[in-house]
Amino acid sequence: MADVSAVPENLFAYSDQCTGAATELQNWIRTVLGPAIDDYENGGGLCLPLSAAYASSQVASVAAVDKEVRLVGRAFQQAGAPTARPGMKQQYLAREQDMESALRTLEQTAQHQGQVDAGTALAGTLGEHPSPDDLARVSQALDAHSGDPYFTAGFFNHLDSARIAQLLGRGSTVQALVSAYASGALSRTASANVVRVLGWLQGEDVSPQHPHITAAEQTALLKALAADSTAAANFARSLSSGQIRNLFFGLGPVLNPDLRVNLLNTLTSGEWGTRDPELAHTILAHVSSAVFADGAPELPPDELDPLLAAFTHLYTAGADQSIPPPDASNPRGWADAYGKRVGGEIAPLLRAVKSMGPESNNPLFRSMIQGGYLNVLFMPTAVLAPESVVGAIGFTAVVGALQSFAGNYDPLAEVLKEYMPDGADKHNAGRLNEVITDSAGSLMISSLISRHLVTPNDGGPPVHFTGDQQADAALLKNVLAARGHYHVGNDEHAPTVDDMIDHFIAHEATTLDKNAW
Amino acid sequence: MVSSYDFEAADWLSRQLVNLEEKAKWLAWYRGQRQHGLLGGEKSDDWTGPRRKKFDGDFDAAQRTLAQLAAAAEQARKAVDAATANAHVAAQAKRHH
Repeated sequence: MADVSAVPENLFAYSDQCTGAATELQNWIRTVLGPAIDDYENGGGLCLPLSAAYASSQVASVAAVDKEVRLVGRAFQQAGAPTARPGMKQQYLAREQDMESALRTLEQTAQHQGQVDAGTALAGTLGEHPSPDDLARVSQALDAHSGDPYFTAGFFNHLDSARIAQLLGRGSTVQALVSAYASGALSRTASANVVRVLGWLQGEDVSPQHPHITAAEQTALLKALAADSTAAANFARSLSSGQIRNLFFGLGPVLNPDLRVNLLNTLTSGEWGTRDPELAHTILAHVSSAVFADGAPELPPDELDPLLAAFTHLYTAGADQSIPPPDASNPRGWADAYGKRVGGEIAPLLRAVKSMGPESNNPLFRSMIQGGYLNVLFMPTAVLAPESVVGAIGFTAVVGALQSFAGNYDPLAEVLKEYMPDGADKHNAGRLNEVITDSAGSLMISSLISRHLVTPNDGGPPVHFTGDQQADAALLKNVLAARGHYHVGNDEHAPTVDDMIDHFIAHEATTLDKNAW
Repeated sequence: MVSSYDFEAADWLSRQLVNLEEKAKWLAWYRGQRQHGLLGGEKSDDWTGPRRKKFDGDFDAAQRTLAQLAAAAEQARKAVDAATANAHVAAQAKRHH
């Protein structure tokens, strides 16, 4: 997607100056021209072909064009990054898609400006040193609007970190924050304030300069965000690798043992909630940079162990979501790219796991190898067409899978027995790689089935998912078990599912070799 | 035939219609000035991309709207002036009877 640029200051000036001039003309039409026409027509004059209403509406249409320019400037500030141009006005560079998305949100918000302004007004009643009564009053007022994305965005966009911290444990503040995140209209400043508050755990410092939050409040916010994939995606979008590193290391995880897992789960939910492959890739890159890069603080094996499942969920979700939708015109090329992407994305995790050493006896790790997590990784409903992922069926399944195993039903145990010797005691990164490879490869095939691109060789119609979890899992199992008997796409030389997996593995393995070992 | 004609109102309106024509033309000139000075030409860094291209099209359409408004003001002014002239003639003819 192309990069676009703008100097927001100039856009604001153009918009304000031109709409100001147009507004002045409209006022003159209303107060001078209109009465002049009325007096003339009432005084026996002819009926004019030109009315004040017509003239005003023409000027209004001109003003509307110029008014939008201000929103474009704000969209660049929201979605873009400033470039360094010493001595010149600030220029912003953005991906066109990001700027357009921010502009759409700003336009929608402008249509609900009344609600936004009401939220802003409520925030304004708090003042710099609110009393307990003030906090109680505002919290109660917020409760009534906690599901209103525009009111809550207007509210939180005008609160500083200290006020957010003071309100966090009260009433439905957490729900209100989730609504605000889901709206997409929460400003960068507000998002940064929320992340700052997440780092103000009681006990982390004794600074009297700002309020603190409890571990329970921190957990409640992360879990609530995880339950709303759109909110989670917007939260993840706003998180830099530095902020992830600050939350992950230091006293936070000591004071709140659930912090790391909850943060990873929220980011995973964000991965499932984004429709933007670039964002999915960026979230993973930020996590890799924060936790596994060369300059990162040490994450010893005994601390990585309990996080392995959560990391694997995150990296599998991120790798899958960072792939653009299947290209039916070139399925092999798409499988190659899928393999390269998965290999590249999961390499940092595997490098870290490798450092755990061959003697790791982590029971979760062993359980994963033996297939305990397979029904999570292979959950086919997770890769229904994107519009279904955030629908009730798909998303509930994913969240449920993140929180617990889906019973004992493991549809792929037979197919994968060859990868998992009985009583597996070869706990090593190579084995983990095979599990992830197989799961990601199966997710790839799931993607194709969900888009009706997989057809039996004997000439029947394309197979597809129905939303029935067990039936869908059985279908996927059958396709993988008979992978030479299904083909992808309608081309004369269409690849079989077997071909596709070969392409995927060849490229995934090559990329991993380059990056992980 | 108009039985009475408010010549004062007609004169005032005629002058305001001249003002409307001038104001519409001025606004078009002002927008052009601001666009050139603040948003840069086609090849500048000041604002680039497909959204800029769309704006340029909308900008030109808005300039045409202002030109049409100025033309409509001029036409209305001419119609008022012609009606005023006719009303003068009618009033004079009445006086001579």
